[in-house]
Amino acid sequence: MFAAVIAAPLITAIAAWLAPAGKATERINLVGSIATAAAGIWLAGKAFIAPIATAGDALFLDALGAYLLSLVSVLAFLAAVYSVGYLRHDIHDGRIATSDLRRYYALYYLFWTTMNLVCISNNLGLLWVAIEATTLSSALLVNFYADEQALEAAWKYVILCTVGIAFALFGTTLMYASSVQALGTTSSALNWTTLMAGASQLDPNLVRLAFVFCLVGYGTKAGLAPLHNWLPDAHSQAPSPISAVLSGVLLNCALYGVLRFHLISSAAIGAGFSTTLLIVFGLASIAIAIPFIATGNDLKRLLAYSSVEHMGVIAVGIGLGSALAFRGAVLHMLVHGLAKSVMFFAAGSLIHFYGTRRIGHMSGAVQVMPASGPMFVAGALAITGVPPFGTFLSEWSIAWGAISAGNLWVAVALLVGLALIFASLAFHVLRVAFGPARRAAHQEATTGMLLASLLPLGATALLGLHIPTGLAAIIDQVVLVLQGGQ
Amino acid sequence: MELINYASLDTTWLQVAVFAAVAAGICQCGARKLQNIIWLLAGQSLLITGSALGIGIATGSEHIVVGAVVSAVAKAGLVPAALLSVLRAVSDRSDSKSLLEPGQALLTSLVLTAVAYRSAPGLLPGMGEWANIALPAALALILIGLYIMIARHSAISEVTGLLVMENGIYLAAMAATYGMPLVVELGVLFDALLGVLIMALLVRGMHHHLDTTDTALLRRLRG
Repeated sequence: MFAAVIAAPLITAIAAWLAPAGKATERINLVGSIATAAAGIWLAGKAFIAPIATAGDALFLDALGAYLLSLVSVLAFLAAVYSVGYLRHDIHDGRIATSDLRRYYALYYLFWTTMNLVCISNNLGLLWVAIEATTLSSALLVNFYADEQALEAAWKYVILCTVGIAFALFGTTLMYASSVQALGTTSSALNWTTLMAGASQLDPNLVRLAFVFCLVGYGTKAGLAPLHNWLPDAHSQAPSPISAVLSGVLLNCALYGVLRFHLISSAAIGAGFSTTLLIVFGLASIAIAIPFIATGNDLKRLLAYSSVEHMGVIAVGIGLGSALAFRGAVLHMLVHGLAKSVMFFAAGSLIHFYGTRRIGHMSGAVQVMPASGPMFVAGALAITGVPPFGTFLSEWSIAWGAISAGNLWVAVALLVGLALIFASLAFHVLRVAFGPARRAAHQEATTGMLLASLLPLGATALLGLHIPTGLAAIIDQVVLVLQGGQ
Repeated sequence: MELINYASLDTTWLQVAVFAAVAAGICQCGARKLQNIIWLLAGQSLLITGSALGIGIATGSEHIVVGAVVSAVAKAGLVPAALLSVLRAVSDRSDSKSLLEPGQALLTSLVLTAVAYRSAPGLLPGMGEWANIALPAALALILIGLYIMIARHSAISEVTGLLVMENGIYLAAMAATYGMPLVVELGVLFDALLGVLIMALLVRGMHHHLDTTDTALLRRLRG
């Protein structure tokens, strides 16, 4: 069962590399993306019914992992569809050669493979290996254009994330030490399920230390402040569909690493320690994004800082720990991923049209790009949590969760931060969308690109109005895992 | 459950090997020539994986032996070879620009080592003689590696700093638990190798575009 979610993207990667570049690669991408997404959704569907495990429990999928796997499947599929038109445009502009398609798609599906591996790893050592592998496979995608700036971004990305995540490896080692002391050197001693079951026997000091190192390590990769410096570079220099996956999906994968350790730590030494840290780092991430969004002049950097903010929002939601806040945080992982995909897709089309990323040089987008322009505005409303979008619902749930738990100052800090970010982002977006159009020419993205943006935009809007019963049940299951029940 | 006979371990030579590994790290801070820095790294990796191999043989633990041999080939063989080949491809020979003069850097690394040896015993109390030897050294290597990454400007020395940190974590795992489970250890090793390859690729790109491997010149992305 588990083999499908690894084999499907891996085979696609190999096929894309071996096939002649051009139409054949695009066809492989289409078939591969459908197969990989279907495999992921199918496996997740099984895990939502009951947790599944294999390979001596080293691989395991519960509701939390299955939720992440579904996010990966849906959003990576959309980005794969968007990539086709986006790369055609790049080839047309002479930015890349047709032969570069092989490299792009092969790396893209390797990257997808590693993200799937993150979702299904029960062994925390394997989880580390998988998360580090996501950095390595995506670093070459960040460097896809291979110019000076892409190189700088890729270098910072790979160096800072690898150093950061080295701390997580040390944390994992400490967790293993605490486990071996209590449970013996069995091969399952590093399995998340084993650690959760025996949490009360773990050495509290080691667990506390392990959590701190893993928070720093995986937190760096999740873009939590103050270790977020690499993120705006990497997310802005990568091709736009990759930016969408990095922001919408990969950050969630890294945060997932933090969550697993948070759950063990909560079970072993009580929730107070890790939740306080999550709230502090979460609020810091929101706060640090404000000035950069307010003064930014590069469209994609702006969106990257917005991702730092949203990871902060999710961390705060998890840290608050009430059922309402959990529900908000879990929903927010989904709606942020959807809305951020819309934004990066629309931004990619805008940047193609204007030939620049600088906000000051773009204006009148609604006029010159009658589909992508409005989509960009709608995406901006979604990303800033304006009703009726799902982000409003999730952010409000988190804020209300804070208020009802008596954490008034957290709620105030959260809402003030969100309001300031809304104001600054709205200012930039209005300039880009409604200023005077300096060029008369009209140009629009391909149908595939527009569809790939319209679907997540529609979903975000619908989720703000009504959460389908099936999704509500899934979210409840994930919340149950987050509350320590399995 | 695998039983490891802790008592039969003769720790004298382990002590020497681990001290020598830390000394190699300190020398890396003082060294200027990139070639020497890489050779010191190779020696350090050999000492650490060698210690692991010794423990594996002394305790009769098959998975430690296998892990140590594979690690030795990768860390003391393949990685330095890859770094030396990058060095041949780029024009930089020495890391002349760094935050501190070699003398000051040497002093800093000595201070870091002292800090590690002072603070380590509190970390894992009551873990036995081997842990008491290896854990402070592991912490020292992690701190020295981190320091190299912060203070050095050459892309190649930054990679060596990362690998010194990696050596420290490997030693910490050996100290705390006699190594991670074999499959994890091999996975970590695979990632490390892949990481070095990708970084080597980026360093070559840097050389191609900027005609230097000085990362202090990578400052176009701001704000």
